[in-house]
Amino acid sequence: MHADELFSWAFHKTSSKEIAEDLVQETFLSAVKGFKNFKSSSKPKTWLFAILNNKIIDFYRKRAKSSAIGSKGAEQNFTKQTNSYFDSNQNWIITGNEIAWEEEVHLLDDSEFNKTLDECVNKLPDNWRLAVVSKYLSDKTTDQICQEMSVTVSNYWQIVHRAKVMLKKCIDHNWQH
Amino acid sequence: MLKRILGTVTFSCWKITEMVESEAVTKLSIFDRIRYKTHLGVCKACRSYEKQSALIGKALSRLMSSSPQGVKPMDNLAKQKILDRISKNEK
Repeated sequence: MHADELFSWAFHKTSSKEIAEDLVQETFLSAVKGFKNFKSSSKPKTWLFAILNNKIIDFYRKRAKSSAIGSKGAEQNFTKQTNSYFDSNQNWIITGNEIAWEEEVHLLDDSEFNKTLDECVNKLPDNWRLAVVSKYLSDKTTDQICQEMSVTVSNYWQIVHRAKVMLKKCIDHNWQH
Repeated sequence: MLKRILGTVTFSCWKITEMVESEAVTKLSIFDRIRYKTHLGVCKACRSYEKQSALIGKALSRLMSSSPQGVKPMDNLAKQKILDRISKNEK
């Protein structure tokens, strides 16, 4: 029941067959265990997807933690890179290569644009990706996300800020329209 | 030069891009709001960023909540494994 849909979703989010299978398995096990918490007012599918989304975030969180030492270096590099887009007065350095893509509302339905964005998200350091994924995938409050990521609120916003600057620049460079 | 003066009188571009993100804009004092708006009024790069940031946010929300196109079936072996685990847990 819904296994294929859940698997597709988990695969789409993690790009790994094995991890997606594990996450779906954990989802069903949690669902069986927590069946008494299931409110009949919500659809089983919605409920299962909510569990799966939490599992996906857990997966990213664990990965961010386990690679904390390795990703520190990556984070530093990305921090330097985001800094490099601004001059000593912290204003944008205009290179002339900026493309105007802000006005185009139809971009939301443009599969090439979405693909580029997806690839850009995957290039982010683990912790930055976790911040972005948590912000947009879950209905958790900022406080809950911060607690799970073990960062302060201001630290969290700094990460989201840098990640967004990085995504903008990544789209500037990689998206051909 | 103009940018440097702008940075002192208003905010730096870095600060503006930070404020756009954290929704701090809604909590600004009137004075700071004028500084913020003035910056956006004269800085094309930040105006552009403000819109791009919102667009990225919208696209990410969609990307994160929309199902991938076409359902990818799960291996039968993996499904069987789940059923085995569940029945084992129930015993």
